[in-house]
Amino acid sequence: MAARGEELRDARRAATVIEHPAARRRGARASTLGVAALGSVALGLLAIALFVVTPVDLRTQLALAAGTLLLAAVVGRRRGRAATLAVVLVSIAVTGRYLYWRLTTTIGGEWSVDAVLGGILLGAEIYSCTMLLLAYFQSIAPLRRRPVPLPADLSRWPGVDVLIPTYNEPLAVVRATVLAAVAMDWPKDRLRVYLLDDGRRESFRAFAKEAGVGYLTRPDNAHAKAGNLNHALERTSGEFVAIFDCDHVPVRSFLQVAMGWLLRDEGLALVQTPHHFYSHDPYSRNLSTSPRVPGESELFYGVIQPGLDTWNASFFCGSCAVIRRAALRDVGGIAVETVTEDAHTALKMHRRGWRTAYLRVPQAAGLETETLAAHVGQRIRWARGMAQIFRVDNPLLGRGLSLAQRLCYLGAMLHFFAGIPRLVFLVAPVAYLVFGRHVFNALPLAAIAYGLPHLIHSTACNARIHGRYRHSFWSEVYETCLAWYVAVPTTLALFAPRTGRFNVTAKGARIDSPFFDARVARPTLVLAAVNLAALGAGAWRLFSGTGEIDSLAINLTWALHNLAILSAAIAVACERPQARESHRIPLRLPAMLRFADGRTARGETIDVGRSGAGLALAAPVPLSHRQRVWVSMFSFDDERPLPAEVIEHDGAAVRVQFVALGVEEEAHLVRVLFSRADAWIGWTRGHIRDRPLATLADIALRGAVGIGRAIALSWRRPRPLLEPGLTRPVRRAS
Amino acid sequence: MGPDISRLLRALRAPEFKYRDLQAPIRRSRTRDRAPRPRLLIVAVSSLDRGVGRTTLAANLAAAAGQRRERAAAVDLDPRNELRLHFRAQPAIAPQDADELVRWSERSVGYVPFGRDPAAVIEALSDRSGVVFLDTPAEASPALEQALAEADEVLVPVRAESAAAEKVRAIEALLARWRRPAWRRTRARYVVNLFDGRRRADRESLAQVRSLVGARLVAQPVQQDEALRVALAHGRCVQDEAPGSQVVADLEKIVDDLLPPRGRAAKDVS
Repeated sequence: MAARGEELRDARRAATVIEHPAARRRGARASTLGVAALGSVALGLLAIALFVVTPVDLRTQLALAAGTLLLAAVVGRRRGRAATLAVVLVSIAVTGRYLYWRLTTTIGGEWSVDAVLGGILLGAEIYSCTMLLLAYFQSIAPLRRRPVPLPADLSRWPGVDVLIPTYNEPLAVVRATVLAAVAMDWPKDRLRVYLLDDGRRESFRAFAKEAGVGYLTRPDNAHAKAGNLNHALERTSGEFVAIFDCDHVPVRSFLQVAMGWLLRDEGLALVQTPHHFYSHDPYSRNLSTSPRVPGESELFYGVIQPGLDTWNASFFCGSCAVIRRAALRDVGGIAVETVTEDAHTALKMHRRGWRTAYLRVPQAAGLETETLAAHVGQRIRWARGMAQIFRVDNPLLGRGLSLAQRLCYLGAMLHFFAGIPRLVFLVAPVAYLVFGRHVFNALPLAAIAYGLPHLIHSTACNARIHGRYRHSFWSEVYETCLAWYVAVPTTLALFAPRTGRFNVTAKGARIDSPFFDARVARPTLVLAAVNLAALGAGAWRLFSGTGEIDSLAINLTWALHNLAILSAAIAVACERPQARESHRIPLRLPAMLRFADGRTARGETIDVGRSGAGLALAAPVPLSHRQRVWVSMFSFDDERPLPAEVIEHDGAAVRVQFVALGVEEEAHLVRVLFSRADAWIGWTRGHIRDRPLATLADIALRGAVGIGRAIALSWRRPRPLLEPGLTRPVRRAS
Repeated sequence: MGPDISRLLRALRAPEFKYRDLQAPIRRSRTRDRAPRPRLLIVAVSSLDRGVGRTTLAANLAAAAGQRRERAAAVDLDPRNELRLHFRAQPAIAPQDADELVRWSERSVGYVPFGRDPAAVIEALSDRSGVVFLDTPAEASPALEQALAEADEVLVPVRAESAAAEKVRAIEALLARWRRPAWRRTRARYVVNLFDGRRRADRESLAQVRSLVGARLVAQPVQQDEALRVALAHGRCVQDEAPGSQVVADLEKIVDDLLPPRGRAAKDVS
């Protein structure tokens, strides 16, 4: 077996690598300009190092700060990668200078309460500066990989097994995924779809038979999803494996878009595509920010994964990916050691010399978690899993990874340790405002001269690199919501990595009426109270004159900023009702209504969902409530009238509800809804431009409105949906 | 290529990338080169069957073309003389002259009842541009032969039923015998008529006809629609009877197919 593995690896190394055209160009250039590039990099690093360590007096430092800001402002007006690199380098230099100054001059010599508190704050700052540098490294040059064509000869297209694991999700959610997977544009004799039911449900078996797909189940649930997939891998044989979470519905072009690279590059283990969500995440929904503000997942799938792809470090995200079976076999199947099996599997593949690719073309869509509580539960699992990998298979150690890959994985994992540093930043102003402790052993003016440029540069750079996919300060809102919850499991997993449990993310749930989930908001409520107290104490100090005015100003601003972020984080816990159990997707298609008496009406769909549709008719038609109609939507060339009932009508506007769809009719509906190749290509449409200060004001405003809602909702009896809270269905990894 | 695929390809901006649309049932033929549209387009609506909706199609297609500001006329060549029933309620713009060949309405939609000499009608119409729909008899007869020979286009309605494929083969054979060799290039187009997608037989026969004639099937079938019968009962066209009905859209689609905007007539509509 080991010999075979070696053979495989040699074969992979020998295989001709056809790189991305951009990479090839880079390669050619590197050979000619290699020396010059290396030299200039070394010179640049030297210059930055000099800039970082040169001591100057306060006045010069102020001038220096102004100079860097001016430089960045001038260079930042230009577009393009060179300008981005320049402002990032300036930001790195300024941050480095700040950190150096912080380490060398602001730490007190002897032990005291102040020094301990200051040390904690310094630790949090070092963490966030490290994350900043790693984020710059990850996303400095995102790879804009484009799909490549498949062989013209259809008979050379390989066999693909589509695996759809499910455990406890409702059949209604799973049906669409299975039916859409069957409808993918791939030769029918080489496309095999399997429903992997870990719930051993008879209704699922019957549905699989009806839909003409394979049904696999197993006597136990060992290793949860990873075990389920591995069980299926033993019983299937296709050269490639496509994996979809049971709520990720692929469009028909998914395989043709994703497979090209795998056929072109024999050493490529997997191609990952974005997870797109056609329902809103809890932040967008509860703060009503969609579509002006990008959704929570867009940063990762919009910038980070393409950035990782540049360094051959993009990783598997558990769904919407195609994996080469040989690569899976090479690493012993899907990893079972941790609860984030996806990233760990990719890490193992990278260690064995396989390459990975990421294609930023949304070719599947799923459901976001329905509530903040469920979202928190999901992120706890991710955080725990990443911390586990960090412990049991640390990317900095071990063989097989390039330095860039190690840094990329380090960034991906450290990201989930943000909980404790975020908590530190959220309570830090208390130390001075309430207790009068100086955790920052420096002149306030010096702190501004060194710290403010660092904050401004990093915010501006982030807005430049990430702004299209995440607006400024929103990361703080997200982290604040999760901070308390991920702090404990990540720390625990560091010390006891084997205790992980796999909690299934609940999706497809329904909120009946708005309520304030005080349970999940409790940590943010406490933090807000703490900051309010600090604000009060600060005000008292200000008026009683018992504090230095400049320290007070800094700490009060800090507390106010914290409160703005915290109020938004609290507002997210005001759950809004979801009007429809299955989401209606805005969709304009020519459509027809047929009535029982043989008449017809033509029109256009406005929105369509699994359960019904809204239509605008060409001319008003007399209708009655609950009238039986048949709806035809002309999306593909075949027509399939769907039986429905009129539930609302107003002149030419009609709303219908489908009734008793047969499996063929449902398959047609799923194709119309989810299979269109272009269904999700406008995923970033409607976002406004990120302007950091305006964004911060917007967050504060939404937070204030949300607090009002939270108070109003708490006045009535709250109705928690997820009783008892965060991790609804839990199963143990054996 | 489905329109969704085209939009995806545009968004990808990957010129190298090719897509194989395995679900597009119609390959719109690139080979079909149509002659430039004549000033007066003559369309024979022909079938060897009764009850496939020839007369109704001829009358309502003329009305649909009239709505596109084309001068359009339907000419009845069938001795049953039923075409006139579709135009009973049509107000004439001038007192009818017994000798006048074509009876025009204000929308420049006209009809010619059975019994007039088709050659003379066409002669009378050919002074201006427009379109003529010939409602031909169902029996193989000299009148049918003449109509098929004269027509620029032949539109064959096929009822969605299990025997549809047989019917198509029969009329293809007949056309091969009768059509003038010079016009063979413009072969007959087919339209599935009286379609009701709820019936499995209808869907299957549509697929059969489509696989048989390919791109010569007009884009979408014409729905079976009660509005057509009501319109006939009221002696007017369906556009006036039920403008919001699907069948109006279906007819417009056929007219679009037959009468591409002038200027790019020779181009394929794909």
